[in-house]
Amino acid sequence: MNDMLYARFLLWKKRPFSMLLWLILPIIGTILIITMTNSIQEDSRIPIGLVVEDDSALAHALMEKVKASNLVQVYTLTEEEAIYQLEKHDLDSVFVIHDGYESSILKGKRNNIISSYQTDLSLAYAPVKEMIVSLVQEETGRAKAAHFILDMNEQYNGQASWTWDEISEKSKEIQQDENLLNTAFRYYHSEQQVENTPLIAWNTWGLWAIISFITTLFLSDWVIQEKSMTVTTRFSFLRISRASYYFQNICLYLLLFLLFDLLAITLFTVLLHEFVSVPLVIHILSFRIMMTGLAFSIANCFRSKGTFYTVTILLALIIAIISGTILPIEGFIPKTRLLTQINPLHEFLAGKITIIWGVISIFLVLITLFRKERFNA
Amino acid sequence: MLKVDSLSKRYAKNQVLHQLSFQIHPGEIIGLVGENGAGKSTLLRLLATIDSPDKGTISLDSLTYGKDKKEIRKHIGFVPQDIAIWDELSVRENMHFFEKLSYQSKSEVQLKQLCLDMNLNKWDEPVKTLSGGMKRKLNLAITLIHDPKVLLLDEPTVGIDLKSKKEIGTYLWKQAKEFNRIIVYTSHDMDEIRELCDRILCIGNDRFYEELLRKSGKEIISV
Ligand SMILES: Nc1ncnc2c1ncn2[C@@H]1O[C@H](COP(=O)(O)OP(=O)(O)O)[C@@H](O)[C@H]1O
Ligand SMILES: [Mg+2]
Repeated sequence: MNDMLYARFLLWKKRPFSMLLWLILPIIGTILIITMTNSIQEDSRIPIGLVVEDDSALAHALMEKVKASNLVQVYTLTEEEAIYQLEKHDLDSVFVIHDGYESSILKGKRNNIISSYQTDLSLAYAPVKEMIVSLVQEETGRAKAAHFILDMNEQYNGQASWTWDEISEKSKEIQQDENLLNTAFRYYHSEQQVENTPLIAWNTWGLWAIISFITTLFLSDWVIQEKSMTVTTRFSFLRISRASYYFQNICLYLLLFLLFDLLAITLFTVLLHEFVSVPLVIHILSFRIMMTGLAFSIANCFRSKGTFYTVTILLALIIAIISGTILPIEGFIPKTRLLTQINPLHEFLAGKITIIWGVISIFLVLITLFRKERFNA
Repeated sequence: MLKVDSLSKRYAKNQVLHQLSFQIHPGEIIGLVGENGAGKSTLLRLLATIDSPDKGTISLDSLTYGKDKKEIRKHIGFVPQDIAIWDELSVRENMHFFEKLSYQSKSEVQLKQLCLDMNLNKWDEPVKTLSGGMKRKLNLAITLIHDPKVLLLDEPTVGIDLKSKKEIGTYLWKQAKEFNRIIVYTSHDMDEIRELCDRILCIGNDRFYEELLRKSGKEIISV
């Protein structure tokens, strides 16, 4: 193995740039795409103003929840500043959590808890309002359930006035006071949950797996190249058999890939705040063994590098689509059992050990090696 | 001793070799001549174990082809007709690549000496910048790394300048006479064949080469 490493290294050294590029591309590519989509989503968030008059735990909890949403970019300011910025259209809309918010909710009062300002250009007012309303529902429901169960019961049974009171008007702006408990009640029955998923759900390791699929295949082009070279006639007279030559080289490539996978884990943890765990490492290891074997077996079927690269790209596209990694559209393609099974990346993407395709790829490698040995015997 | 007995080989309907029998002793240089397509390369491949005959037997000392293939290969140095080296590597790297995977280990000094013996004095140059003659020399040097008893060369001097040709010729002669190796090689250069070979093996149905070489006074193996 040491001798093979020495010999292979002589060849690797001759194309350091392309070797390094393909090894590092899954890492760089993933980091770039993830950070870019994150910042695009940051930019596309709706700027809203939040005025927190009530200095209470419940009011702060609501503020944090609104801030945590991917839909909005929250600016906390005074009411005066907020309205000024709303007039300049720097903010899409403004929401005021009024003084006494917590006690009102705890007492079951519905009026004047939160009011909002919007303009003619407040395009996203409706969805933002709905989101805040449902968050309030969540909070009030929880608080009331905890502290005032009996009181709640009485309120729900006794009262039935769900009016929306307009409190004041400011030139163009309309200040609205909404009976939030009213709205809350409606949501309460429809059991609506606030979805907190980003607009595009890029999965770091999923993206990495797709790019790795391409680069692992590209880096296996040595199999095609060496097949067409007369230098291989010498392999019959080497100390090691042809099968052993290829097997050792596959192992060397596997080790090289794993080295860069380690780098991927490190960089994703540091830069993308991915969580490392022993299962993840095992999933990556099994994925990598499968991928290296599969790439070797596929490459061995080709005579021309150009065709091989083209097929690689096409395969990657198909796999990306049926995996939903590039097009995260559920229902766009029916997730049939067959589609899942023929996808070599499926187990890894599903957060499992790559067993089925791992076994398939090892089997393919063994057949390929056996045939190479027989053919050149 | 390399012993060939009633060797036959056909490709589909094309009977290339028919009932070939001859023996070669250590230290002998055998020239293999015949028109294009006569079966020279085919015979060399059979002798090199990388192809197998339809009929007949070959043996090297006490080893039988087929049965002892693995063992025989340790003693075979085969120089393919097409230059078989890593184009992107330098002379030095080529030598080291094959030394690492060879039956014999050799030091850097020994490897370099192998090249110098043939006057291949480029060492760190990438192979793709070498002249045809230099490449042929390297092609031969790599084959000698594991000190083979039998050297089989398919047109080792084709298409190169006269000086390189002479250098390779002298080197092969030394390999046979000093190190007692068996050498079988093909060439279309009849002067070279006359000068270098102890015996000449003419194959093919044509008597042209036999007639041509009879005057050389060299023994011709009739098959
Ligand atoms: N692998 C093969 N399959 C079919 N025919 C072959 C093969 N190798 C050689 N031949 C045929 O055998 C004959 C001898 O070829 P070869 O030994 O290369 O001749 P030479 O080296 O003397 O020019 C030719 O007619 C050639 O077409
Ligand atoms: Mg030939």
